[in-house]
Amino acid sequence: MNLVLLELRKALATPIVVVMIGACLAFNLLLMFAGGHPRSELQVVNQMAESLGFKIDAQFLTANQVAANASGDEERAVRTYYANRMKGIDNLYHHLDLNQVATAQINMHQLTGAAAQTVRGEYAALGVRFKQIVADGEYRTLFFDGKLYRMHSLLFRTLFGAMIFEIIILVVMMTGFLVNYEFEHDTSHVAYTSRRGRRMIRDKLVAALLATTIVSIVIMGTTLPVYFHAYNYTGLWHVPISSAFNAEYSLPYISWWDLSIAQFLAACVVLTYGCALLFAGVAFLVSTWIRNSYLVFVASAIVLGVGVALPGLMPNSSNLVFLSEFTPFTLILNPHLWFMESGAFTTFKFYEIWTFAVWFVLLSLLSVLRIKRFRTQNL
Amino acid sequence: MRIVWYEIRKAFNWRILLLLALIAVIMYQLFISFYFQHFPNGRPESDDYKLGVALVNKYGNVMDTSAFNQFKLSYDQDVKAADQYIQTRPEFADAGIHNYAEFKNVDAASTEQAQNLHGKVLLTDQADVFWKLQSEEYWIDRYEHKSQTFYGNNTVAASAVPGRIERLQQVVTSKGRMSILPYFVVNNYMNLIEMTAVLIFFSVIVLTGPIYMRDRRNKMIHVQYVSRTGRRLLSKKTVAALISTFVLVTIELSVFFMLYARNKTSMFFASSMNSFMNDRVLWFNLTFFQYIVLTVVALYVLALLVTLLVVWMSSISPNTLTLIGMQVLGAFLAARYMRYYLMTDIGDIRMAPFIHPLAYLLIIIGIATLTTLRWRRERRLDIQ
Repeated sequence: MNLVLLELRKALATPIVVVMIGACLAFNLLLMFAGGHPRSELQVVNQMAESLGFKIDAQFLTANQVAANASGDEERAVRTYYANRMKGIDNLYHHLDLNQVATAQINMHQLTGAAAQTVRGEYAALGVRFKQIVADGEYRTLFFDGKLYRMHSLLFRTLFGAMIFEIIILVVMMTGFLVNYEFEHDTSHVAYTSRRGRRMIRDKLVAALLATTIVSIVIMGTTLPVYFHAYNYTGLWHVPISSAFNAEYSLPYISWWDLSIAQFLAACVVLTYGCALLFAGVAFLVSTWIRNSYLVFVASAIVLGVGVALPGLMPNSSNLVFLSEFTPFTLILNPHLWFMESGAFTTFKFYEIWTFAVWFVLLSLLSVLRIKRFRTQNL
Repeated sequence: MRIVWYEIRKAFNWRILLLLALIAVIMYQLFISFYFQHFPNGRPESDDYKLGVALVNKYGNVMDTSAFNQFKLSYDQDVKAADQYIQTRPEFADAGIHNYAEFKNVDAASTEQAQNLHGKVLLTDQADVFWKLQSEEYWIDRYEHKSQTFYGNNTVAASAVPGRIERLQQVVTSKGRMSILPYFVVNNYMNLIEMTAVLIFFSVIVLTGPIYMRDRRNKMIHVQYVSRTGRRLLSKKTVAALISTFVLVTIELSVFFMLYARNKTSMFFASSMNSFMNDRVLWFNLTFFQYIVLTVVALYVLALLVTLLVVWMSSISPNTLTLIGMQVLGAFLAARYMRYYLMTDIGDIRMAPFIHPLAYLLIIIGIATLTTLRWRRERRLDIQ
């Protein structure tokens, strides 16, 4: 254990890691406030939900009307705006046909044959869930108007997208550095002939995974509190993510489960950490083949690039095109669409879970094999 | 000189070359190929492109008032062709459409039959004659309103940059304003050169990074310091890095322009960037070709500055982790901001005219200072 901690210190005590974390946090602040989201207007929505509840029913509408009459200019304007917007939401949800969405997706991506059939299957399954959203009135809930403020995109696309990349860059850097440290500092002849010897590679992996955990906690643990301090969500934590007001484009967000904002956020945090672990695994494997941490970093970036480019090279008629999407490299691209409808290629109920699980097992197995191989390898 | 040559040879070793090739292929596939494969991008852009090419062939790069009047006459001819198209097909008469003017006025208030026919002719049949007319109307409209700029009523134009309003007034009455240069040709080039710039920055950063690290890792520095060249080695390495970058940028840009030639935009090269069909106005009079040269020169300068910065990073990093960290920060700034703020936006009237010279001056002074200080320190540095 002591060795693991010492390894961990090697990575985290380097000044550049601290500087980079600082730069990441500064950049996140920039992203958070550059959009100029009107905080006082958002606060009114929050108050509406806190005092009247977030379920939109007749009682809500009457009470909102009363509150609007008794308040100041801005609050009245906001309350009236939302009251008007609420009139239109039933219409969309009662007329939306997901089979048409499937057809549009198939045409857009020019899919044929088995691939087109799969897409129809995905949207048929989603249609069942959508009927439930309509029947339960899950969509008739109050949230910051997505068409006006795009708060879902701000948090889960912009901010989470940035955080994932920041964490992954740091993780890959540190993993490559730790694994090749002895070779690059000419200590390999001493370190690997010691009593601990070549088993040390396992300590290095454990230290890299610990570093991953710490970096994830620091980046998410500072960015998210600042975000929720700036944009108050107190009355809205239990609003379903599939709320009609969360919708930002013509097709609303349709989640596979009845997740509240708080649950969705928790799931995203966990999956982000999961992705960070997967990338630590990828970097570890690359490091066991390439003994130069500079090249390890570049090679890992290339692996990411290949993974992202792969689906574009698959034939549009076969199911291979879906298989190529089940990788951590495409998973990290759209955090705002995790656990919900996300276009032709990834709208599977357990897409995120399968991707993580399969890759976790795969990378773990390969890592164990590489660690065993390392014991007998020619250094 | 021999040492410089050895350093260049070391920089271009096969492993780095392989990585550079992979980076180029992936970035091309992900970010660049789109702008080659989809130019002009669908309709009506392809119709506008055809029209632009035809106009340049007919009137040259500048369409003066008499040429414009001729163009309007040919538009009237095309309207007649469309009328004929309509009159020879009975389904139009059934829907209550007897000529082009009536066809054009089909809107939400028209009968459903007329709306369906309108959609069918344009979207399903893709009847060229109507698309062409639509393009011609758009061009005529923009030519007739050429005294209005994109920034005309914008707060940007009214803000307190001295000379901006005068420049806009001067541009709209100039001959250059009458030249033919569609906005999507310029935008397509900008998108391409910006993404190519990102590729070049990344390549240069990867190529230059190991220049000092490699020798430090092999403990070669000690041997090199006691040689005749001694500590002047860093300056030789710097020169080698600059030459390597120059070679790499030249190769990548050559490939880029060979591919770009297939977009077939050379007929617009002599047109002014201040054309009535372009969305941008520049502080100075440049043709499209001169603008391309300007961006290429800027790209070379930026790539060389990035190289100097990376040499500095490489020479002060105690380990690869530090080097990679600094390079990532540099690559991020270059990819996110440099590619347009310091390249394609040069001369744009939305910015104050002195911004770009000033920015370049400050960056050059900054990097030159870093490099000189590092060279001086190198002479007295303790051996680790």
